[in-house]
Amino acid sequence: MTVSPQEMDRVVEARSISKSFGPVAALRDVSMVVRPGAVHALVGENGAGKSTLAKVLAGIERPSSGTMTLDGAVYAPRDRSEAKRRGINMVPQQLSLVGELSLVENYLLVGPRRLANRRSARALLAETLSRARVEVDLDVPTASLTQAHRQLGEIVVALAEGAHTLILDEPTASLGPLEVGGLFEHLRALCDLGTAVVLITHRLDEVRQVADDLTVLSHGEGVHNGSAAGLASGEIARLMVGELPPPVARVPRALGGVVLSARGLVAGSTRDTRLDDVDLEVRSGEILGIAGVAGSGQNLLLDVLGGFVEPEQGTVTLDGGAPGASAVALLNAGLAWIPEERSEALVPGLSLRDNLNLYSTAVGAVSTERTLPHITADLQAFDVRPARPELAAAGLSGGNQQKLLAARELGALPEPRAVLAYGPTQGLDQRAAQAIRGRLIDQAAAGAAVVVASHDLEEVLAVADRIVVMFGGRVVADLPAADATTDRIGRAMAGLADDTPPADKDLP
Amino acid sequence: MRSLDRQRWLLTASVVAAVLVVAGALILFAGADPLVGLQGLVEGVSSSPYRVGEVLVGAVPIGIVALTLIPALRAGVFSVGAEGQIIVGAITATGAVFAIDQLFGGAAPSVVLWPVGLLAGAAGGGAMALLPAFLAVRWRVNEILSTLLLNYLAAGFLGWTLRTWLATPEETATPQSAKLPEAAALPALIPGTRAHWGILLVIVIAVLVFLWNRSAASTRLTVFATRPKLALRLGATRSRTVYSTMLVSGLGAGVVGWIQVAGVNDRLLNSVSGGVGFSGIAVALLGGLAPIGIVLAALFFSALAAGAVGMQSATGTVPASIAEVIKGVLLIGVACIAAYQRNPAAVVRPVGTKDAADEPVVLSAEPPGTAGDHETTIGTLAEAENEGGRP
Repeated sequence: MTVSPQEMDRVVEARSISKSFGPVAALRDVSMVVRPGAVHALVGENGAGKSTLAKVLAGIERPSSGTMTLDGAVYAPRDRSEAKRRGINMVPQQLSLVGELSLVENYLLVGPRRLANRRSARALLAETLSRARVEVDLDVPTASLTQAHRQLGEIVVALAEGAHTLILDEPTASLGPLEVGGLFEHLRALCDLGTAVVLITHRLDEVRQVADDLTVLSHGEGVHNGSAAGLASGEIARLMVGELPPPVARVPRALGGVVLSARGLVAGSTRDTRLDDVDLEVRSGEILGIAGVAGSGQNLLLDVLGGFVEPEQGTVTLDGGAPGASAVALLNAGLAWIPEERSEALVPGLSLRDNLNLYSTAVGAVSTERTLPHITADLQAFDVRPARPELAAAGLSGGNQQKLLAARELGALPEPRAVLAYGPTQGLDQRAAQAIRGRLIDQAAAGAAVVVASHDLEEVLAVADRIVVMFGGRVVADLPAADATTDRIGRAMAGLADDTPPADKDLP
Repeated sequence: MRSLDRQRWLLTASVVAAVLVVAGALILFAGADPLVGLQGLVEGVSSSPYRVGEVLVGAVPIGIVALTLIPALRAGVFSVGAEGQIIVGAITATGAVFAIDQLFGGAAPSVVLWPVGLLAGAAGGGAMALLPAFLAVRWRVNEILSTLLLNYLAAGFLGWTLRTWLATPEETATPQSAKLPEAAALPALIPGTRAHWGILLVIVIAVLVFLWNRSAASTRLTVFATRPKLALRLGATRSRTVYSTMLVSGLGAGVVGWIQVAGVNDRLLNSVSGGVGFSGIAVALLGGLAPIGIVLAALFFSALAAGAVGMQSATGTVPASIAEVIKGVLLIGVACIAAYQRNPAAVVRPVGTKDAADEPVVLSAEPPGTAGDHETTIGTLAEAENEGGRP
């Protein structure tokens, strides 16, 4: 099918957009042209104004000044539904699915009435899914899906809802490599039919992989606007952040005795794959990476290691302590915890100060309450913005909440003996992510056993000394970082045994 | 936190405003002048020391129930069993007072009978609360359901008690117990009124709760309500939290049972709980789970009931049961506040959105009315599905 002239004309143009929130200028004089049939990447650091610009396009925010046109006509949406009516739809970074309802039911909530029929809605979603080459259960409540699957479901519902311009706010933040590939394929298919896609992302490899056009924002100003071709990742990164901090130096650390060990873990959960006889040993000074496609059991493993889920079989020991310790006993023994969903670990209604001091309220607390100067220093050390101790945590952006969490677990906890982190740098820009990685390495150098799990392979490779790969609730590979080529890990993540051709195995 | 507080006070203020509007409209509807009604209401609660005393007497049980419900409500454990716990506390207190008095040959001193009544009442109420707590922890029985149903069980048990082992030997129209020994009664705090020493107990409990509010345990309960994993890390396990919070509310309700018998009625009556348990929940939420707010709200509730009688006599046409209607409106408002307490985000902003200062809220729910407009683009998508992606 060829692109019809009407569709070709569907250009969304934003001219000299500025947006201020009180005294804070989020956007200054930014212009952007979104072409039909192209993927337009929108990149920038945390707080550079990406989300604000996207929200202006999607009618969620009104610009303070500047104009927009759609297909040559004035486009000044009063609200999101007007923008949707005119074919511009945004998929927010955080999930808007109704947890109690299945994807099909969620779609029936928002989809056109013509399809207000379970079977046809289901068929459409199933087809959308198969194009994206992902598997999401359409019929279970979305709350019981893993985060990646929920995110994916959100995108699928929005795609099925239909829009000629689709704005995706970091859609790949919680997707595994295979799922990202499938999604991009789908986006390209849409583009071929004239749909415009605005892709907000942190990952520069994605820009190279999929983007036709590129807008780079830095501190609310557009520093690049045009074709994505011919720009190397390093160049884009330099545009975004000015200057990158040097990569974390790989200094070999002396490994001590085993600090964290798990033997023969068998455990089940509705949110993740069953653990099937998992053994794990992490030594003092070691950073162990746990790789795997989302939903391979990493989350459940971390829950068991953290004392949140009692295994049906097997034991967990920290620092030679009694096996099967409770979560609070593990905390007091020096276990730091950064879960995949930061909302699980932060209390939005409490101030930054109270969130940092939270562990001093634990039963038998080892942590003591920190004084205000200490709190301020912690916030600054982890670059939490704004560093106002009495501000409620709900007032921080997602990236800054992640930094706050890291500040508590890696900064305020007295000498962690072990660190459990799932995607510790998710939602962070390069500079902040680098800082967190540095902290993890510092903890290891100080003798802690560090576990970094993620479905983002880069995140694991960036710090780990040794990498285990999980698939279907089992550990299927255990490699030192030097041997962990992307190829070998990728194959293990896909459930392919080492050195066997990927002939008749099913991809997850 | 501060802005959240402001939202809550705004909500509370609008509830109060709604109550005033409804009450004024009802008085007009009944054919009376709202101002005359208001005057009657004010006189009904303040025209004599006795009437002031009645307001205090009414506020004591509501206040104690509400104050001791704070931990449970803070942890999201929604116990509505105070009615039944008051009844059981009243029964055990009455039974214990009679038994101990008999032990002393009918001449036990107050110094013995007061603590006996207090402790027996607390024990009865506490035991009554541990049952639903056990069911909730062991088999995950919904605590709202179990506590609500146990109220009926307690009421039935009270009826049986008053006809059998605690029945008065006298001939009476309604089932009731014998009069408590003189020494067991709580003396009046203000001479010439029924205002008894239980008022001081409210102040003591309010101060204790105020201090507890700043403790680590209080923070753990707040975390427990919304962040189960983080709560585990702080040591607030489900069983520990449910048992301790339900026990505290049960102890408070049990003490109220004793106070109503020893301070107000001098005997155990069928009406000992009299809706105080339910009012207590409303008052706890109306008072924003804060001790001072709760004391004020309890006084307000009590004054409303006492003042409505004054209003009836002043206007002649407005029935005193208008107090029940006003309470009903209040309860609806309180339900809104409760929803807000459980999950402020659900009322103020949609759950799960990125609620940053610099990146305001995305409203995720869309009205379904815009649906038809997507038909053409859906077609495009369906074709995209068939065409296949870029190789």
